[in-house]
Amino acid sequence: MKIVLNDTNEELVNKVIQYGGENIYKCFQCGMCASGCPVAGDTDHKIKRTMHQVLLGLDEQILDKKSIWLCTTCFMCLERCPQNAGPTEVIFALRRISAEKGIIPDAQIEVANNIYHLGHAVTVEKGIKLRDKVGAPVLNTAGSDKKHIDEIQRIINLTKSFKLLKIKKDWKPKGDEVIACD
Amino acid sequence: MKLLPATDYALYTGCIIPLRYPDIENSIRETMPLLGANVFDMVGAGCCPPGGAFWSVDEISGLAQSARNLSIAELMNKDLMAVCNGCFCYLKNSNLLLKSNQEKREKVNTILNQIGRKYHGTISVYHLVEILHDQIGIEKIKESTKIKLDGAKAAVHYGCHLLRPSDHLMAENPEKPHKLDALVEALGMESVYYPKKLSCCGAGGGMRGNNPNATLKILEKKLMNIKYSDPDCIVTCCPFCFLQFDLGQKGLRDKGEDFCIPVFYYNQLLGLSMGLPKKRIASISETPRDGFIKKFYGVD
Repeated sequence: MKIVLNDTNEELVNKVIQYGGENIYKCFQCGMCASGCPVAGDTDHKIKRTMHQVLLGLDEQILDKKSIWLCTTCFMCLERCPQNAGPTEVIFALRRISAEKGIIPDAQIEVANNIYHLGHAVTVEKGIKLRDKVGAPVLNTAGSDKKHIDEIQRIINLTKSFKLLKIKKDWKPKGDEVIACD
Repeated sequence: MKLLPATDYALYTGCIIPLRYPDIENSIRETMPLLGANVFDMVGAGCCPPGGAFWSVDEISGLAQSARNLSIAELMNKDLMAVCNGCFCYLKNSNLLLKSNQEKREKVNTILNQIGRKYHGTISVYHLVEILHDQIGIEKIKESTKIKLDGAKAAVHYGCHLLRPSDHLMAENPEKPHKLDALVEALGMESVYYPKKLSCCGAGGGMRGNNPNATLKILEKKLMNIKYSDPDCIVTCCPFCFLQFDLGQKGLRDKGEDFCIPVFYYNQLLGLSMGLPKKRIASISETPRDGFIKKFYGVD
């Protein structure tokens, strides 16, 4: 039987290598990556399949879905890969390629805007109240003073991430819930 | 109690500890100097930043923000103490990358120059667990405690970004780590076996925000494995894992599931064992801990 793959993008694998997944060619599809993956059972994120799709150049199948954003970045696949193909690095590379196409989930945008406007991944006012309640010292991290936040904003303004993470100048945090940190 | 010679660290608190669990921050600030490790504030330190957002779109923007934080510790001329696994992983990774890669260091310093800062590569990054286990040592910790937790069983959760990638994080066997277990046992507790101990809590990488249902399913599997050993508490050394266990168990209870295992950051138990007051060091949680504290410390 002859299998014909339509709409393949042979440039995808080169781009993945360029964006940090430099050892992808070492993958021989053994499946060790998936065996330790904490999310494989409960989401569409299937790391072994993604590695294969990159090598086949099936960019639409990877980038048009949001499953690459469901990796918890636990690095278990990278740790256990017998070939050192670096599956987690491939996921980071795919996320970078995806972001350049404007495909990025809301949680990433929310956290990036928190960091840009507040200096931290989470809201600050609630934190100050909690600190007061337990008698913690007065906050002196980035979130305590506009001058620190200004430094962080100037760094982000100088990088691609300002555009890629859809940072907005007029932005209010959605709420006090912690949505992501590491 | 005999004190070790003082060693000074720049305390990098991150985001979750100072702004959601400042009682954990108090527990670190109050226990470490008693063991000879003095901590100094990193004024103006921002988010590490996390792998889930900035690193996921552009390496240089992640590196530049990490380098700003590292430059604050460099000006203090002190090694950096990370108290969150995520902060540890990305700050240590940035520090090693910037030390070894001249091209990236120059790119980052061009950016930092705009805000009057510079990365030099003069300090090291350590996780609190390394400092407790490798520098202070188990014997000193045993000597420092007044109350022994005899008979208490702990499910130890290391978290991912303390151990992996193992080639540049904490010096440990990544498949069979022992340092946090040894620290827990120094308090008199038994660290119990449970299946898939090294698996993820399900919070990181943006998962908690992107898929609230899946994050709870992954946590539930983790908790089922933990329940296998029927522990009295869960002990971790990462505030994001702590948050996932604390708020995640509440999320599962709201769905009618029966998960209510007390969760502690290591230094909270250490502080309680040293006789420090509960209100300052262990009073913020959605999953109740008072029963554990009353039973094992006799404190209301």
